[in-house]
Amino acid sequence: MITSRRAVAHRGCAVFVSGLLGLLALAAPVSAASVSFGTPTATSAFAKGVAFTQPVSGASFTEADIVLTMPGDIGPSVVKIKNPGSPLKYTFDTSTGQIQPNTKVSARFQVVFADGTTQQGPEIKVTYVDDRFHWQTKIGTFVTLHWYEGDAAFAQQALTMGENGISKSARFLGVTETAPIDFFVYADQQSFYDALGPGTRENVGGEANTVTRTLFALIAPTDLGYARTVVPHELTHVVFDDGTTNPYHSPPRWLNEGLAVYLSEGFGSSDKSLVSQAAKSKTLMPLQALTGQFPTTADRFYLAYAESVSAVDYLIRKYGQAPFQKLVKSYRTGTSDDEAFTVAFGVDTAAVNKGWLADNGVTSSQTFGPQTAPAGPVPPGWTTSGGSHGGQSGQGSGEAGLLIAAVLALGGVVLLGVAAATHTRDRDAQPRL
Amino acid sequence: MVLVATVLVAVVAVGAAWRPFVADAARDSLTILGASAASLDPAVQSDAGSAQVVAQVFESLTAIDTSLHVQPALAASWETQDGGKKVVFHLRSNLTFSNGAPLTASDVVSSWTRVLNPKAPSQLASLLDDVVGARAYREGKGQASAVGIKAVGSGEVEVALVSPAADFASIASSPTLAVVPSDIDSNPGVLEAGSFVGSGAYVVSGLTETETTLAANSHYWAGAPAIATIHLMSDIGGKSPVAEFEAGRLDYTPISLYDAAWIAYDPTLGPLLRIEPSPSVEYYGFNMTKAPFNNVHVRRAFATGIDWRRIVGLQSNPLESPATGMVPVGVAGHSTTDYGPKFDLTTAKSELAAAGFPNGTGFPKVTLTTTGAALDAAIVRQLHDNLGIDIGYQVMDWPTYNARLLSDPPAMWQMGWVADYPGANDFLGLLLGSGTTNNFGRWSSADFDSAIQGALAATDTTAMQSSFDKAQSIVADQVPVIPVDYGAGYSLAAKGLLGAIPNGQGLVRYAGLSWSSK
Repeated sequence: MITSRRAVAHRGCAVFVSGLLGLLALAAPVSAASVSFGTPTATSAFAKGVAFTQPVSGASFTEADIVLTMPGDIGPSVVKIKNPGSPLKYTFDTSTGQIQPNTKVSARFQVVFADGTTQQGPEIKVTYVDDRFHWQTKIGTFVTLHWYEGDAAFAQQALTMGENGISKSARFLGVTETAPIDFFVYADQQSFYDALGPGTRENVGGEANTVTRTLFALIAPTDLGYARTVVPHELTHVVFDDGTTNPYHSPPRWLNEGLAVYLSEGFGSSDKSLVSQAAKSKTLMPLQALTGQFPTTADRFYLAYAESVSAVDYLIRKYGQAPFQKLVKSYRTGTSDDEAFTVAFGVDTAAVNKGWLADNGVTSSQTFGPQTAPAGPVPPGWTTSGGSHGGQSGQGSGEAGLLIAAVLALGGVVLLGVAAATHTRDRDAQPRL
Repeated sequence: MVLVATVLVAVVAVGAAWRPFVADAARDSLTILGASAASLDPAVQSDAGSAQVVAQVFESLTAIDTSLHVQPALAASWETQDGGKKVVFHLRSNLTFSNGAPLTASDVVSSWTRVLNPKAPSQLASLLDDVVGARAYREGKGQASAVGIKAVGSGEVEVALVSPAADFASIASSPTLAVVPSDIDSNPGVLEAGSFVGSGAYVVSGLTETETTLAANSHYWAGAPAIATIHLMSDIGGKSPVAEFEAGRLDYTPISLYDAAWIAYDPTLGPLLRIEPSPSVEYYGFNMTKAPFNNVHVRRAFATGIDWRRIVGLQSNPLESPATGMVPVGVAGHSTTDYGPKFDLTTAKSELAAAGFPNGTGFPKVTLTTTGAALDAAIVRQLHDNLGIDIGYQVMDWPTYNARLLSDPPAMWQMGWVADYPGANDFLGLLLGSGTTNNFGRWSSADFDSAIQGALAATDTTAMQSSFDKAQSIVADQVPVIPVDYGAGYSLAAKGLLGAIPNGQGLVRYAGLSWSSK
């Protein structure tokens, strides 16, 4: 039967509303039959959906689709329209945070004729925005700031933080920034969480959507101290992603977060304390544990950040800053973690982990799983050798547990090598100031 | 089906409140994050997510256990006769459906025959292709009465096979071949919550957009299952399955490898982390009926011009390994010989030139169409960098994609396949045999078909393996498809939950779940 376990984790896209309605050239009909497309429309409501319509008349068709292209996609998504009529209608549901604000989307409808040929309508370009606020805008060299609460001085300070953060990260990582970055400042937590979507974990104070090149941050106008950390932190993610993006492999999260913390606040005393305490209590997680998502519980979540910046600090103390530019360039070419670290530092990730643990006085880490599931009740008559039958045996018999044993053996070994999550939507903790 | 994808983006807080991580034998309910069934009808469903649900509510004659053995289910036993060309299933006595109505051999015959219905054959109808007259009937070239599935009295089902098929008892375990009431097509209530009538351990007692509620079937042949009510969630509102599990709102949930990495080192969650074996293969295929992929040189260029093993390795899932053929590790018939694609740029360029497209020059515009697979971007990049081919790319939602595969397959496509039963032919003959319903690329090879028949008719495992190997060598040479990787996944299971172990079809038998009394 069909399975699809490798669905792409991309799509940090969002919905839109800002009426950037670009009507591009009609695709040429390729069928003897043809229809006439009118002017398409797109209307959007934050956290509800984006509704597209397309008037159409002329020849009959057997099917209609909408063809959507989101930022970061290598090709469009085709979605079949249910019960197509005129106008053609489609609503992209955003009620559960499928996309985030400031996602630019292009769409066009297409019809399919009985002979299998297709005809595409005009393109619509729209940007999904958070329409709950009256946004003000201030444009800088790299950053465009959007805010709705606070005065011009507040905005200027936030913008300056962004500009400086970009410059510092780009310089450190050897990345040249050319495309603009949008920076949305939310003044209250609920509005901020609503913008990020329902999957947002507690403690998140900023998030960089590197696909849409959008930074979201929770900054009250009276709390610019926090902004001095969260803004450069999140922008470092954008720069890091710009420097390393490739279609093959994402760098480990501990590296991404460790650099962001290091470049925004350094390896501070609170982080040092967390790492030191974990080392003493033998609860330090190895770097292999921090390649993807960070833990959900608050204490382990903060420890993950502390360990990440600790590891970056260790690398800088041991090898200096220069190798990080080599590291970024190596990742850009689609290398594995071991290849990239070997190019930059002359050692693989296992050696880095070992060295970092030793630097903290730790020689090994304890794993607690995965563990074999305990058996449940078995129906009467089921035997360890299979069913009751005469004649030839089925193929399943005689292969007891081979699959499971093989996978468990594999998993037990290679879990240590699990690698990074896609950092299209990096989420970060409130600063630990 | 899109089990993992569906599962990892959802969640809704439902289910009885309980104390996280504390076993409680008194509990009689369970909340699982899974998928909703595209259809509850065994003859209509074709994906793993649907099968996970259907397998709980409709029972087959046999079952596959967690050790991949074929076990008796509705059939108490079976035997092969006529040199393997006839299989006789002996049903258990006094079987009933969930409403108490008798379940007899005639119900088995009608259930299997409707899978072949030429007006609307199951997408998995080819599971029965070895049955006399089955293929002719589903193709509209024969009569239902000529199909070699017969009831003998009320308790026996005789299956006549075209040639000896050693794996038929295993095939009979497929959820597609589960037994349904004979009035299922005339009585819509059979599949509706409240009036549901099934043959499995559970019945559907509730059905919403986010939850399928299952209630224990007291008429189940093995007795009512230990857990009375199962809340099968298909949508948790975008929340983290891990967070919902920690909060006690999920008892059993698949999780991503990105969470598994840290959970392995977590003293609380680590002991609850499970590896979910999955006898599955991911592969890419071509439309063999149209240029340019009707040219074997082009297909070979794609097989050797992409470093498939490297791009799989770089995807970073430690439970996924590069495929060495179409048959996954652990499935009977998996070969020790490596038939996987081998990166050889010199050969690739030579094949491309032989096809008339030196260095990609003049290669027509073709489009890779998938539901959004993790390797797609890497494939597009490698074709550009290695072969000078700029291939188009588009993503379709699953229903559209599946319909397209069946009616007019894209030039290049992608598929994941998990065992209907843990036998090699489920990954070879069923997917690549001439005219089979899941031969999406429309490939046809007499040599391949012959090798498959040889394997199924073999009387010893050595001869069987030799024939399957021959079939795989033909696939490797002719490249109708490119096997890419074998997979597995991770889950979290609450402390005290017993039996949360996928079987040889990658399915968990909910009747085998219970809460520990310790």
